[in-house]
Amino acid sequence: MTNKNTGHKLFQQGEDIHSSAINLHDIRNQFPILRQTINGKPLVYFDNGASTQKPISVVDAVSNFYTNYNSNIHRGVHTLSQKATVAYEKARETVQKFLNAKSKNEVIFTRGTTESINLVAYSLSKQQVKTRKKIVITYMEHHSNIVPWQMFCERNNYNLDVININQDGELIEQDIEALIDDNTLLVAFTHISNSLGTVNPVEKIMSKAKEVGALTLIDGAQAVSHLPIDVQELGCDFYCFSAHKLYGPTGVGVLYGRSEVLDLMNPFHGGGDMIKSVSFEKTTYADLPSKFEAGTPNIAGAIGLDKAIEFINDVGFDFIKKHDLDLFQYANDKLKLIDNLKFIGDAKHKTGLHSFTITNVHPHDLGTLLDEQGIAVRTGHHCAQPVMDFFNVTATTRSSYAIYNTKEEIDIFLEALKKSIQLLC
Amino acid sequence: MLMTFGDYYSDYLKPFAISDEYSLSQNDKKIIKIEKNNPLCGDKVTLYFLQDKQGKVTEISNHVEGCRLIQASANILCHTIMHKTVEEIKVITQVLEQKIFSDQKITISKNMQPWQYLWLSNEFPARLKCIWLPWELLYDYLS
Repeated sequence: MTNKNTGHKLFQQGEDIHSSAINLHDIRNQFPILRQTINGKPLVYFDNGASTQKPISVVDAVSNFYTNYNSNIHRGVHTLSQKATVAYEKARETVQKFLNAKSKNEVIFTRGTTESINLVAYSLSKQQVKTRKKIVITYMEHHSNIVPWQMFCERNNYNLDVININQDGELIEQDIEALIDDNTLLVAFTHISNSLGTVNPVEKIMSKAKEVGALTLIDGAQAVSHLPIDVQELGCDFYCFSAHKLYGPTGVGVLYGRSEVLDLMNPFHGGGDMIKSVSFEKTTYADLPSKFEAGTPNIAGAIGLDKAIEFINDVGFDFIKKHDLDLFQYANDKLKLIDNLKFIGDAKHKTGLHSFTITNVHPHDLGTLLDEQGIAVRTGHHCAQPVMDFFNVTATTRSSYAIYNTKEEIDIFLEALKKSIQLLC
Repeated sequence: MLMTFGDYYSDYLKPFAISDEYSLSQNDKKIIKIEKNNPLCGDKVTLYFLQDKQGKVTEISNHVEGCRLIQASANILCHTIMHKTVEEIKVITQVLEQKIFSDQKITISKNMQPWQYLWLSNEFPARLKCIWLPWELLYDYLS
């Protein structure tokens, strides 16, 4: 298979992608940032849960937009504006196909997952809100899928119910059954936890939510780079993700919304592009998706996201899933052997990351020492303070993996980890 | 040659980071308790102290839920401000703030006091918040 943009060969058709180191090498070659050294050591980038690196095709697409056809979209009659509009709307179609949405009008560009969730929390109409009295979330949500709902509940005099987790970092199934009831307006939950790596039982939650007629919002920020997403098959009302965790640019994200639900919602922001007509007496709103895209959007970001999805499609989820599993298992087996290391989250269905603590070693100190050895990991509460409280820790160290990471990098990480522990203990 | 974080920690901070000399060992109701957390990371420091009529610190201890740097800094703070007046503490804290948040290269000398070791943290900007947290807490209280 050849990358359409770079002409780089990714792998041969029918080739065993795991037996061929050269394929991974070719993938890595598309990420110039990985060639550098940090503190004199080759960069090992294990902070992909926070943000992934960008292939050269994405960097080039963003640069090409600003170099050759930067212009505002829609309404412009000149060539550059038309070209920018075509590229921006092509990105929407690419996202539609990527998520298997019914219509491209169900794809709203936002600044990222956080804005996507806030858009829903602020735009549900009185007609929608008056029917029920509570929102259900889970214990393992990122703050961006907690706080907007707390604010929603305060505004609308709603209750917020929380599906609990067990010591392995899995949702408690009885809570799913008990808390999602016919008083539930919406169930908001993460597809893959950013702090635990747990892959949640989406089908089970969806089935219960549908049974009681509740809306569903899935935070796909962590999932979208690891799993193929089919929103029609999932049956969710909303699916949110950020481009920068999918090898795309920062500052752009997506809200998928089922058109029947989006149509009932109020606009999020008022301004240009989201109207049909404006007078001092009355303003009428544009149809989907413009109704939710007030003002000049992140045009370059959307164009970059288009290329990021093209890159993902070229590599393919068959490769991604196998590679994820391989790396995860390899790291898992070796991390387990480190004295006094405790996984925070040890779910049966887990992917993409390890979150852990080590007795008498604070994650921040460890993170700094690893950085000195060229290794980038994330340390802290990962914007999931309730999860930290549940496990009675203030912070964890999180190593999170991507398409370009290798087993050799895991070996380097483990050696550096041992060295750092020795210094700190 | 640039100092690594590992060297800085081992050579200057480790003895203070692992010391329990100033860990909370009393439960005196007269003791003033102040606390502060870093919302970015969740780390938290609590200081317990007593002042005499002149405002001099006569007893002090700390409790840290956080990294070794905060622990070292909190212990150095306790070591430094014991028997100091409010004005003396303020001066020390202002100098520390100026040093750690500046780009100025700090020259290491043999006669450095423990609180001056903290100046060297300006080479590790990602960790300045850790060093500064206990001092910021006390300074805000005294101000």
